[in-house]
Amino acid sequence: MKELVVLSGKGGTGKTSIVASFAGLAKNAMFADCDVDAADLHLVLEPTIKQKSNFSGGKRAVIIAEKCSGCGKCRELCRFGAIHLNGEGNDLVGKTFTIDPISCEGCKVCFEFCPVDAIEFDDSVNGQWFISDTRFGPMVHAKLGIAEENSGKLVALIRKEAKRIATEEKKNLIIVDGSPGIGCPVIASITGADLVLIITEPTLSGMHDLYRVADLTAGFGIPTLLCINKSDLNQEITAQIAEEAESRGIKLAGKIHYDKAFTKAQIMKATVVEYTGGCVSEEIKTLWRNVIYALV
Amino acid sequence: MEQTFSAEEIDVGFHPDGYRTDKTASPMNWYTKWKMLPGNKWCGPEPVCFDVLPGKAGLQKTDSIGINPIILRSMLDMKIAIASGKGGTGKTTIATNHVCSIARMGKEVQYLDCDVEEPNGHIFLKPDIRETHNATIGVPEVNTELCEGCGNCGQLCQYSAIVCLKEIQLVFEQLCHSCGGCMLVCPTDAVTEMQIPTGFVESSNADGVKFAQGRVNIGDVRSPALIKKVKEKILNDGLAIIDTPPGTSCPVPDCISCSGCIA
Repeated sequence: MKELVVLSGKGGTGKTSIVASFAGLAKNAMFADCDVDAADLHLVLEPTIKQKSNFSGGKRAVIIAEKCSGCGKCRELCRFGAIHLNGEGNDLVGKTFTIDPISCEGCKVCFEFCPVDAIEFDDSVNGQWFISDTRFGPMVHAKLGIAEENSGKLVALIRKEAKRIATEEKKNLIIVDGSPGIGCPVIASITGADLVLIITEPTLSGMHDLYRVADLTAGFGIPTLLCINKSDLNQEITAQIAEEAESRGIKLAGKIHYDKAFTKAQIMKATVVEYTGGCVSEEIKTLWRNVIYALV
Repeated sequence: MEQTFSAEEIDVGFHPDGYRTDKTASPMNWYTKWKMLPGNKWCGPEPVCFDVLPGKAGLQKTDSIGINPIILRSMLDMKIAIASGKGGTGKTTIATNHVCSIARMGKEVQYLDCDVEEPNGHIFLKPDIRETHNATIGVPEVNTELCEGCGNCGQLCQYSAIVCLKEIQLVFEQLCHSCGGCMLVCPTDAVTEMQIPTGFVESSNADGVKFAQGRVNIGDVRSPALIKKVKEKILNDGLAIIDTPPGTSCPVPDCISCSGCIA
């Protein structure tokens, strides 16, 4: 069983569209959407949810207003600016302290040092994750709550569940839709992966961001392929990217022309290869063949 | 064979002299000049900077990309974050072009690139960087001679960044959130804080645009900490435009928390 992770660096290069097409081309695969705070793969694969679970990535502190003595020790020690003197008063003080749940990083310092035990420290629910069926195979996906932390932990959970299901159902391949950037959700999605496919676009931003994510995968020692999507939009930058990829030892596995079929297919909730038999479909199929060859 | 297009196929609009606005892959003040062929066909697109277009092209230079001067006056003390959720929607394009337009109108403006994982604003604004600061984050350092192996630090730490196993102390710097808790609970002051690099903050101040960006080190997961360092560059007075990363998880609220308006 192999794991392919699709990344981009820059957002909007076409990762999810291409992953959805791969889902339609793969023979015995399952899918994991690890772009947990802006998941889109479900829009095309239309999963039927079989199991839904809450995700708790950590804990959060809450001040019990009735017990707060207003001493301010919590605010003095909090390094995240999460504590403010803006709560309702009680029998002891006119105003009490409150904790901003968005800024709270769940470090437990305030709980540890509150002299009157006015702080509770409990599990926080940061999102939900799902095990689903799609027309192409099983899918594990998630929805991180707005402004929540611990995206890396949720990604790790998604991948772990995908591996468990893939083993149980004897799937050959897990295809992971990654997130943009190079931060903790991306790192959590690539550790231990067999292959990374970076989807880029021939823009200055696309090129700049590609090099950073390529440095990341190289740092983790993960074999990496490249696809230049919308390659005809700027032939000069496409050529620059291809040259730099070669110098880094990254194989250019495919080039895909800009095609409105990407957008139209999404609107129709179809994969690009389901939507059109045109040139862009053939380019995606060529890319897929190169990916499979690299995974063997 | 060179690809040709009919006029209707060219997005956005075209001018009979052979120009159209190009809103993909280019900054907003670039146009595309096409060769016109018989039969109202177009081919051979090449980018042309507005500044070198001949006056008789009949195009109006868009100084403010639609910013009404009256509305601009009301924005002059605002902190505006440009966010999107989905990536690739045009945040940086919008943010940098607004900044340029406002500066060309003679107003001072700040641009802060808080997409510290993949900062792109510098590609288009081309700042002449004057200051570079290494951004650091505090992580625990254990003096093994003072440590009595009580385990308080490991018991408190919510991130498994410090683990005390009898006389062995392990610190996993990448997991540390720099809360300072381990130092506070150590009875012998064996745990102190050392600073390790997490990225850097660059800034410049030229042509009416005060520029600042952060760039997190490859492999470092502590983007929020670096975003806070970039935001320390925000001036109390004046308009600031904050370019944010895609998504909705923790880096984004750190970017928008001081802003008066999210676009």
